[in-house]
Amino acid sequence: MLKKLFCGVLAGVIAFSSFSMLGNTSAKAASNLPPSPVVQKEKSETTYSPSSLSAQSSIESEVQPYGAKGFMVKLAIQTIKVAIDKGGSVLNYIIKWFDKDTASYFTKNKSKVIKALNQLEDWIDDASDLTQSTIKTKLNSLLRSAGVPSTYSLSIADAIARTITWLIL
Amino acid sequence: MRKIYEYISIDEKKEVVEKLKADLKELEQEINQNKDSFSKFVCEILYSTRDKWRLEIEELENEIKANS
Repeated sequence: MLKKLFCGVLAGVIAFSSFSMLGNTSAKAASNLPPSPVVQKEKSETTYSPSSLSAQSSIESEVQPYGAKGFMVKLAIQTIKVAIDKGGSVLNYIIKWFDKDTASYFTKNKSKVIKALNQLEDWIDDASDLTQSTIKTKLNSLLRSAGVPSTYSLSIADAIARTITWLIL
Repeated sequence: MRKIYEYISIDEKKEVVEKLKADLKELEQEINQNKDSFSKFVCEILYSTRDKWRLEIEELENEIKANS
């Protein structure tokens, strides 16, 4: 009888210690794991206090639809339009990227280029980014819509996009 | 200084200053709130842009003051 009682107690102690060890191991394993996305989400949510949110929204309301870069790109387009009409160092910078054939086409079809540049200026407000490559792609499609053949449109768009970067850099 | 400043009026320069100030405020807030999550490389770019904009605003304001 005493032997049976001893066996029962022993089995209970072994069972209890193995459960507690299992709990420790899983707790250690959990601490070694990288934080789950749920925890990160909670952390990122707590970083925005009501005061910081209100400060952010006040800044957003102060900022115009396009920032300083958008404004400068618009100024650069206006400068290029004047240069195409009147000449000068900006026009020289554009023309230096052309071959003889493209330069001749450009000189004879200024009105088509100006039309595309006017549309490019309107597009700036809605543009998601204003990189040289985005401007080049957009201007190429606008030039083609304005009737410039594809043999010339890409090199004209490329030269003007380079000139915008040169002006605002 | 940017080449475009050679071709624009004082009023346009004043508008550029306003927009640069707004962008600078937004950039400073972005740096203060999230600098720990950016890499060292990105932080260097953000800090140099901030310094560049501060200097640009100062130089433009001096130019505006000298011409008004």
